[in-house]
Amino acid sequence: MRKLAVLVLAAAALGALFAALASRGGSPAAAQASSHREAPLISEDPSADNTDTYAFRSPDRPDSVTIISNYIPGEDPAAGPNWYTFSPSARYVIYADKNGDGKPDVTWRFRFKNQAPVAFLQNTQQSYTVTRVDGNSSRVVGEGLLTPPDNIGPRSTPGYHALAMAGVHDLSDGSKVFAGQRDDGFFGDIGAAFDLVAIRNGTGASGGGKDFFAGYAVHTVSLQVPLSQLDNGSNHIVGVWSASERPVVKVTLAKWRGRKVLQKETEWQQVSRLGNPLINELLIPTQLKDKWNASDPNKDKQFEQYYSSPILAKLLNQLYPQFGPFQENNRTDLVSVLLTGLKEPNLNFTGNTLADEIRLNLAIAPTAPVGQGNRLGVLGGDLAGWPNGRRLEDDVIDIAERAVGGALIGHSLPLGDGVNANDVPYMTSFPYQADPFSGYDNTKGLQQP
Amino acid sequence: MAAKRLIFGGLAAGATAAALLLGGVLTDGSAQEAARVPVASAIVASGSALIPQLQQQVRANPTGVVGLGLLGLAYQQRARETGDPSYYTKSEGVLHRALRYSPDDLVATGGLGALALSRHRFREALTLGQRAVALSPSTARGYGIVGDALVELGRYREAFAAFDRMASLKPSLSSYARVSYARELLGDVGGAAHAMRLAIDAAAGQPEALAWSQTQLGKLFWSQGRVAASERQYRSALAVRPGYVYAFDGLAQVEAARGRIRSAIAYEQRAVDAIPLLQFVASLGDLERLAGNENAARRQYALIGAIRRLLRANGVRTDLETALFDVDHAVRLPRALSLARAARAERPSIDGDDVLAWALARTGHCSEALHYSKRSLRLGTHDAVKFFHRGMVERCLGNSAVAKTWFRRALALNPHFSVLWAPVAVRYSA
Amino acid sequence: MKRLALLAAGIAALVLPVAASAHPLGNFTVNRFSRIQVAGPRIYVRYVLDLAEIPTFQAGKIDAQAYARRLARGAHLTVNGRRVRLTPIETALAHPAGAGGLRTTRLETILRGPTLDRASDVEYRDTNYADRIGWKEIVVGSAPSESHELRAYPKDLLSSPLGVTTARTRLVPGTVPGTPPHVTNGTALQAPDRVADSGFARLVGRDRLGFWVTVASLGAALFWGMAHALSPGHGKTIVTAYLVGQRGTPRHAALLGLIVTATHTVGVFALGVVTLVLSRFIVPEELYPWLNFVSGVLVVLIGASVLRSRWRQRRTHTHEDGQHHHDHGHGLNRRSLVAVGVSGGLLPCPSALVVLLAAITLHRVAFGMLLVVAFSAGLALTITGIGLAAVLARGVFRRVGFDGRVVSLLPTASALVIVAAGLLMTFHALPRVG
Repeated sequence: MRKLAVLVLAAAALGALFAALASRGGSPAAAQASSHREAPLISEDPSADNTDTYAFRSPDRPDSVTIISNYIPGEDPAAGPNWYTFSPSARYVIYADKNGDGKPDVTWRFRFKNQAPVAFLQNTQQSYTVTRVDGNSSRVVGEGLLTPPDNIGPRSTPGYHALAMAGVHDLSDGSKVFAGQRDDGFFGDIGAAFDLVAIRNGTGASGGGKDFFAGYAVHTVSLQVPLSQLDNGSNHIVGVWSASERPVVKVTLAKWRGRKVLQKETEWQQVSRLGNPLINELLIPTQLKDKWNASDPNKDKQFEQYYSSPILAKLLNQLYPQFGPFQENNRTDLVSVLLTGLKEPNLNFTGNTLADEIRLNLAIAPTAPVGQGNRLGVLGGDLAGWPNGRRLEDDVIDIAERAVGGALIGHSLPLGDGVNANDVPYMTSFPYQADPFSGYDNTKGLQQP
Repeated sequence: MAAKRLIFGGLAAGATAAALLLGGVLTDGSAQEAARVPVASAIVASGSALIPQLQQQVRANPTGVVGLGLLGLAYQQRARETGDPSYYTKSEGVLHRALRYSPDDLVATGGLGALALSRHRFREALTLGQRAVALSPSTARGYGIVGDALVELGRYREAFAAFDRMASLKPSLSSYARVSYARELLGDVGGAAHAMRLAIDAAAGQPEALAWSQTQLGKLFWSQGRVAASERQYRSALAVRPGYVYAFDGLAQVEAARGRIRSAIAYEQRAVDAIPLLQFVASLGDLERLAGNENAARRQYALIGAIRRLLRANGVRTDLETALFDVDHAVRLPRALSLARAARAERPSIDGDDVLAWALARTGHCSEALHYSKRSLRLGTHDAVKFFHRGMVERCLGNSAVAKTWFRRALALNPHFSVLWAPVAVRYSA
Repeated sequence: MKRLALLAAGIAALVLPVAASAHPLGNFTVNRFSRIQVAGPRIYVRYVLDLAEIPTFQAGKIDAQAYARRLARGAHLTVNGRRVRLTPIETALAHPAGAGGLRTTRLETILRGPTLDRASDVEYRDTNYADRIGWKEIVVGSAPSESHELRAYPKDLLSSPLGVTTARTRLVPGTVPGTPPHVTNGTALQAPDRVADSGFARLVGRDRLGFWVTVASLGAALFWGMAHALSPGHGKTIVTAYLVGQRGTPRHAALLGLIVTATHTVGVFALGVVTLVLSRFIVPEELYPWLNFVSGVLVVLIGASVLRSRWRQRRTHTHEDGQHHHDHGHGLNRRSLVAVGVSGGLLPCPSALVVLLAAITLHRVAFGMLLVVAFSAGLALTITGIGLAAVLARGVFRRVGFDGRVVSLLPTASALVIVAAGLLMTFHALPRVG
């Protein structure tokens, strides 16, 4: 009985303590989002988001290198209004590393401006300036250039192909440039490939997947650069990656007690970068994605462990033990192909600095017109494909799955997502990516089964 | 024989009972934690297309934490786009499920933090935000949640530090919008507009985000009395996102400032029909009263009562807006005062200070009111409503000359700061 | 016999799930449902309108006929490319109770369309309340309705609210004259799903707390506690096993009940304090795994101690229990009884915590605390009741003339059950802890 009394007393005491604390106020529960100060839950920043970077010797002009840098994932022409544009407050950058130190030797920087209030006049055309940096000197190589408008439809943007081709310009450094909306050249069954790496139709190499990206568009910054400008003359290998940056704007410069100081936007912060495909999606853990995006390739040693012990290999072992075992750790093969270039066989090795770049060996000639190379690239015996540079037709999902599966270390399996080509054929000349679907008629996400 | 049957029956019953009882021990069946499968960032498209895909993905892989996290975020975005609160409930359910499978999941933790913010559970949001930051100090989003919570808790220095950290890690629309708000609080209106324009530029191609940013800029202009500029922003927002309720609400005020009351009522009614927020309904009631439609005004005020009962039925503590409404409309002032005290205790921001000061002034507690009014202006914010309340406090204290300067300041800043009280300020500043 | 029946009933009661209803859609939704069907040669559209609390409040007095006419105008039916007119022929109106003491609206109307002379292409577009949020559903023929005609909205986390406003179909007229559809009448017009949320939590938010309201609320809290105890957990297994095994008397059962009440109340208060004070550092969610863990360990210890005392007794008492049983009175000492009671009430029910916190935010702390006590008492009553039932059952079996050996094994078996349950709880909680 005494114990009981103790318990009851404890209850009473706690109750009293409670009442005292209660005046402090408690936790309100559900309400509507009514505070006008809740900024949107934008977890991604699409208009500055890299989607793909390609680099290849142009098959129709083999003395030039084409670099394609795509941004703005998931542009849905059907989700009107269709007015995706580059962000006027961002800078879009293409980098080239000629000596394998992971630092850029040549840089092209793009800055876009709206022509008119986009929302009012549905005018998606933008003007842009291209600044080139070689080493320490920078110069403007293109100014007041125009992008084509987005493909709204036959009434707003009739004769779209001609409109688009008017967007190809010459830069004063001898390069050609195009910036604007294109059909997304990427293809793949994201649902199958990334969700449990489901392998359609057995080992998936027989086609039969659904191209998730069919019908979507992207905004591209594409260059066609004279080969001599990127050739270092010794091993003829150039490393390419692209990025985007935004100005850093803080609350105040000075102490916060009432000093009104307008900050000039001199400080830029990189918010996205991309060399090899699928790295941030497949290899880098969630809590490091922002850091990856903000880092420069010459510091990529800090991410080496995620290449060396790829999560994807563990997943393959868990899900498909019958095809395994897949080597989970110490994957020097992946580290080399993605971070230094392949040494044996000698394909595109740039040195011992670990840096995630697309490494293009300029001494290897193109093997086919655009869109007709072997989709499995080097793994399919076509040395002009990824990981030697990256062409539009290279099936990077299949190549990546096979590489992680161990294709470079003698464990070769026909893994794949079942989607082997883009839904729309590429153009045979610059800028190579096809015209985007118009908002008026589109077949987004719809594909052969 | 009968005994044996009894025994068997009893044992069977007992075994069943035991099994069922024990079954309670093994709640929510153990989940095989599938390896984290990332989803290509390319999938983040507009919410309406995205949600069915994510739902399908989660159905196919019910324990996949990444899919659950993304679905939770997509639901929240949909709730913002449509105003449908059932999406908040779904978001919460899905994110909690993700956390059950993986208690350290960054996306789910951040998502729940954002949800807590939108439900005004600021202390909980702060905890969740801090946990997100601890899980990944290099990810910008967590600092945004922490900063937002700290602002509502009146801890401004820490809040601004969090925003600055967010801005330097990854500048984006989210960071620009927060920096803009911070600058506005500090009285740097030009800097606030500058930052919000960057936010607008960063919202390219995302209708809801763009409409939101434009509306915020419109409200900033409005607070400085720039009616035409604010109208342009609201109309831009509606062009991007037809039916955007916050733009309708803004246009209602613009029309009222122009003297077109009927048009103002029509705009506000559209906002109320879509999402009956307390502040929309209160504005509508005030506009009806201004137009002389007493019955209609009374109906709207009664609706506020109904909304409050519903909020309470959902376990919601009626918020700062309610206290403000009661004080503004002299509804049971003594009770309104204790409401204001409680509201401020939950939200010790300058808005909490301001509402409490106003309540104290209207109930004759002049010197205590002055204390809180000074607190509400301590950051240097240019806010005509707060100036007006300060004027009323000074008037309460008998300092009519000082009061007049405050009224004049309020009117100089924004002559249409309140449908109810701007005329009063005009009278008292003469 | 009667006792067995009671026992069976008790067990059956344990199986019943404890359902909670939460409002799936918002309080300001306007929900619409249309069923396009053919009766005889004629097309009919059965239209259901479900207004949530706020639209109902805003609508004021509803003239059912006027509404039906308006809905008919907004329902665009096109047959073979020609727009046809829909006429309301029957209407029914009800106001089911909603949340916060407000009412909702359920309006049903049968709209009569044209006769068909052949199979026809039909297009239906519902333009009513086009800009209002809500459930929009169209069904053709006798297909099932996902929402049971706006009576029960699906609560699936993985489905979005329906937004169907257009339907195209091909309808074939019946050859036999058919009966037109009718509106629902009477109680079927009520919508069971549109009720306020958790009954217990609702108790705190009442507007005025008169004396009788308070008493009634406390009674309701008691009931909720009793109902809540039927859900999995709360140490029913342990308490039952303990009482059965240790030959507890009804008096022991009552004492256990009291201890569970006290422990549960203390637990809720303590958790509430923790939540308030430590909300800066700890989210309540984090505590639950720990509490589960501690409960599990405690239960294992109790079971182990019972086993140990049993084992020791087995070595000192070697006589057989033949025809008679004598109650040695061992095993059931005060300490283990208290321990069992504590373990049963250790895990505070989240809903009790919610009530307490809600009470605080509404500045009705004392009332909230009283509700928690009543809730805990109800909890204890159920647990005790089940334990009592077990004790009585044991008595029944004894009277029936059990084999003594089995009976003497019961205490050990029960102790093993306790240990097993405790181990399960502990291991289940382990992954979430730390």
